[in-house]
Amino acid sequence: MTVMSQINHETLQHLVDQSRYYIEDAETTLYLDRLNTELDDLAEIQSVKTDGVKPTTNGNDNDNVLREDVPKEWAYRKQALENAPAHDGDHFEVPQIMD
Amino acid sequence: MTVINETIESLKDKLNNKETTAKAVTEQTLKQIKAVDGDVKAFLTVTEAEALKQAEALDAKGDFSAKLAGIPGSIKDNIVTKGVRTTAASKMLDNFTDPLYDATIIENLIAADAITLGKVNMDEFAMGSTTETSYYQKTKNPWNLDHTPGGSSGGSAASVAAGQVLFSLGSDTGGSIRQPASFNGIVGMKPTYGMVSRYGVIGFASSLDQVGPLTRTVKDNAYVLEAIAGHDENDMTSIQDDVADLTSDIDKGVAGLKIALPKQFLTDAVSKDMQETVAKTVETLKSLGATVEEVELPHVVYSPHVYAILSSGEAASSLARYDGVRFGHRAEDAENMIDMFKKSRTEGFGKEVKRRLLLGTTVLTGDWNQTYFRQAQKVRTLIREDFIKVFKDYDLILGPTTTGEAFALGEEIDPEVAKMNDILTVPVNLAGLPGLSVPAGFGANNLPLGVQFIGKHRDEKTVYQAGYAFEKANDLTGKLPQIGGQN
Repeated sequence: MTVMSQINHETLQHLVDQSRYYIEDAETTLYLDRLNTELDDLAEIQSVKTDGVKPTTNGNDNDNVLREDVPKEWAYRKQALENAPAHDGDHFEVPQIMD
Repeated sequence: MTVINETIESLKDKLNNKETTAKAVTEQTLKQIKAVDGDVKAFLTVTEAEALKQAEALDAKGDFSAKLAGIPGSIKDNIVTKGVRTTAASKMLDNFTDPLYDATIIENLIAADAITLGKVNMDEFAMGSTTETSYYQKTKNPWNLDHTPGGSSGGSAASVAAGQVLFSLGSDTGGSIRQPASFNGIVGMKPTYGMVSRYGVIGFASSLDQVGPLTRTVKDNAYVLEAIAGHDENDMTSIQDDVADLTSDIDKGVAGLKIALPKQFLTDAVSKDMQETVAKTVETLKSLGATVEEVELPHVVYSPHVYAILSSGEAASSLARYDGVRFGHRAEDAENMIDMFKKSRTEGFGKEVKRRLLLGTTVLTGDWNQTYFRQAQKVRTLIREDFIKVFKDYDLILGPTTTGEAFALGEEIDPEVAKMNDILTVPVNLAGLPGLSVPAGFGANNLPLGVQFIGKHRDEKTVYQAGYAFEKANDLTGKLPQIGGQN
């Protein structure tokens, strides 16, 4: 399998954007070099033969146990609202998101 | 009586016989914290008033029959504690001063009448192996203050080694209990995935995270695990079985046990001191009647890669919740919602967290999802199968916990050494197995070295039996840390 890790400035910007934080212009090269190096190193696993191997998503063999939803009272509603940066009556108050 | 020289059993005997009181134990513990924490810097929050109140209530009740009655402990700061600030050592949660509920494991500790003295330092969101990525402070190794305690549960390990508490709860995603246990000359257990509830534990990588105890002795460790383990309906990955009795047969010994020693755990990247320590451990176990043989775990050499990909990918998902909306740090002067998310995260997260989030986002994006993330999940299967194969013929697996002694503060860690350290600890998380680090000796700088016993799924009992037998045969009690080893 070929290594597909080469990331350019444009792709980096997209990935940082998706990671939901900002980087300074001066940091771009550092971030770019480091991510490419990491992806190149990690590409070593692509040499492992995994045809027919199922992915493992969890550290144990638990099966899902399904049941009907049962509503419960939650005692901390008022405190939860008070723990938020801001609240208005029974609602979390967040900055305006639409113009 | 000095708390520092006691075990859970001996302290409980003294409480039961009225030779001391929970309040006296708590006061002495607080005194020790005040005496040494200026140097060690293990604690982020000390809950003095609450601990004394808890102790007084226990004394008034006069019943010390609960599993950890009157026993002083500390809690890693990624475990949610009602009314007590819980930060995961991140600026992002600096203002999380009044959590509304206790994690299930804290409820379990309260039910066991343990006395909790406060919250201890860690790498930010448990991402690191030296506790140096904490937003707040750098914790020092009590054996030598120029060295790190390891990480990410560095505050937990240091608080136990420095005699501040008899136990601590840490969390282990890729070695974060066992490596600091090894570096601090104490015992650390990463239990089987699902044995301990993660409800109220601030997530890093959900398929790998597991909470476990750090203590000075193997038996103390088993007592604490008995107290915190058990099914929890609030954690969908929690194992449904009852908790096994881990302590009553702990002195059963290792005679007749078959122990595997994987070649991949003893490469040239492991220090000479550690190689010799493992060789001596093998001799000790053989003298106690165990058989020790070399085996192969061929795919563990890929575990650092698999771990980096899966843990970063899972973290990118787990940490998406920190967006400044409902809780945590919110940046001011944002122009719109997305700008608020980004500014809050830019200000709230440290460098190491940002590095991992970017890698995680990348391996979940586009074609990389298949070539990295999906492939890593498949290699994880092969690593698990290697263990299953070995455990068909063997009862336990033995190896070094770390490549060598604790890193110096600020030390640039050689990438090959870092990779080998991952090979020693990470496979246990990937396969969901129990792993116990037990003090085994000392290196050239007189710093502790630990060995690791790995068991089958849910077989903590055999792991503790082997650790207990080895600890008794390999008495290290004469060696004490620079800080807090004696009163």
